[in-house]
Amino acid sequence: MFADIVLLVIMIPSLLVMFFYEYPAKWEERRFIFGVKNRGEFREKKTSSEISKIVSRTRKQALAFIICSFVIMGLIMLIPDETIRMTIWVFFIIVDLILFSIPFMRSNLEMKSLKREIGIKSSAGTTYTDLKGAGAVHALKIQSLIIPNAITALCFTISVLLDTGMIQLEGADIDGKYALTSMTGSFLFVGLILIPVAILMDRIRNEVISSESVININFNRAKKKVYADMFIFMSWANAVFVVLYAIMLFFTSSELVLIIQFSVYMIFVMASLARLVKQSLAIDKHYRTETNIDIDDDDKWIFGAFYYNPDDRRLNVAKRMGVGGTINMGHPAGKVITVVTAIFLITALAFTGLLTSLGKSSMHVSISEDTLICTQVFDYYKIPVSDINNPEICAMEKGFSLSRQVGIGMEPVFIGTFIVNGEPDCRIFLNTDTDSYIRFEANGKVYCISGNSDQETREIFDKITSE
Amino acid sequence: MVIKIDEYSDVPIYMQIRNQIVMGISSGELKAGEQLPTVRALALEIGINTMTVSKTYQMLKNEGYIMTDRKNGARVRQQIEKTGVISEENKNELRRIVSEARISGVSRKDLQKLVDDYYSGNV
Repeated sequence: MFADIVLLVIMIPSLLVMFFYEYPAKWEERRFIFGVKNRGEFREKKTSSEISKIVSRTRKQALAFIICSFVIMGLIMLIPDETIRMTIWVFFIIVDLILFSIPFMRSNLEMKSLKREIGIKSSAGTTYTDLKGAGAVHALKIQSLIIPNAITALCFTISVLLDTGMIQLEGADIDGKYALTSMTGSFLFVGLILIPVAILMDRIRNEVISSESVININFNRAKKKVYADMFIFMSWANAVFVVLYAIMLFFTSSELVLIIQFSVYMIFVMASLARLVKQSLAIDKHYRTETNIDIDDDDKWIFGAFYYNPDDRRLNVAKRMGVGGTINMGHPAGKVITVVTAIFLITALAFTGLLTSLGKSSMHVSISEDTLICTQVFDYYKIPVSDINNPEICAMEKGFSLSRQVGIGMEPVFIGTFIVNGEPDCRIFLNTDTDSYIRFEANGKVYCISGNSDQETREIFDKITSE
Repeated sequence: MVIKIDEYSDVPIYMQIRNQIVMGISSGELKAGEQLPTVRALALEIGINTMTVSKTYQMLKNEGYIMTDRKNGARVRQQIEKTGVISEENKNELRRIVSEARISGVSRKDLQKLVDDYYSGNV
């Protein structure tokens, strides 16, 4: 349920922010209408009426879609099987975000068609550069990102020292080793990823909206300041979460407290994203009247979402769908990044499917040719029975705990190296739907193994003890 | 000062940049001693190779419009030599423009007015 709540806290604000940003009610105030540059010609009565119809229709479609998404999310939460529920969540999030963009993409094509109808010719191939702003407009101070990440790194270092037993703190109520390390490590990783992204956004090419350099410089600085502020805020949110989480472990290991803490963190992150969107729109609105240079490169934006312009040597450009930056797919490095991203996405989905199928495949423990074999699609362990020492049947009674070090851990299947009831480095092959497991030692390692049922576990135990 | 680059023009990009910087100096948009962006920054901003910008700066330096040094980068020269002479290359270019204007039926008066406007920096 913890993961469901976190996913809800992420998905609901994300969809709402996307809805209000990408599907505006008042298109007149926006710089882009579905990825097409808002131009003076669009204000003529007939064209304006046509655009209003497109915007209104698209907004209704997006609204219907968002309501459907909320209903589906509610239904997903009713699925009892955690493995299936998590798999559906993963696929749903990806498919939902893609489908949510379809009304935008359709309207992008309609807007381009409208442009052609009213005779606006493309000026693709023309670029403007402000000589005075080139390489000189920045809003990010790197040290502002370094300090919160240093705090997170410090917490991570302390966690590692605690978990490895190099230091000890009295009163720490840490349930299972590596819990603090994995949490602080994850947040440190996110914080470190934010640094290059923030630098990239700060160095994104300046837009030229006016023939006056002062206007261009102020416009770009304002835009970059909004992004810099968001990245700094997110880095500090990371650091504060990690510190509070570490402090919390001294008092309680309650999952409810963690859920509340994580939810508050996500609400803060989403609020900073909403603030970014609001301020970006305010900047666009403020500078709309001062815009006197219109570059028409709409045709280089496929569906208004993907930038493909081999004539443009820039790699990163400001997005037209959503906020932030995107890559130029026509750039040689952009092509590589696109292919790698696609491979990564497909692999991630395939891996999720594989994990689910593993979780749903039956586990099998057998003894063949005096060797104990643990199989679930693959053979995980092959242990000669003669090497097995001190076998005993243990019960998975109340308070039984598992904490993953390395391995697969999707209910009810757990395979790999885990901490079992506080005992680290146990090799496990467990189905937690059963009530018992066999614990034994072999070759200096501790093994905890169960079959598909208590009866199978008992039969294996009898064979081991008899041989 | 805004530079406009046309990817599909017959005029090479380095020459387009050079021409517009010269026009900027002439119109006063780029003042004497004003700092120009570094080669790398301008190349990144326009989205072209650094060699192209380097070639432009080298050309402007040779022509006496800018000066460059490792410490301060590129700057517009404080004193640009006033020879009072139009180069042969520019004479030929002017002749071509006047010829095309005459063929197109542009009157001498209109052409002279245009030259006056450009010279005084009104356009």
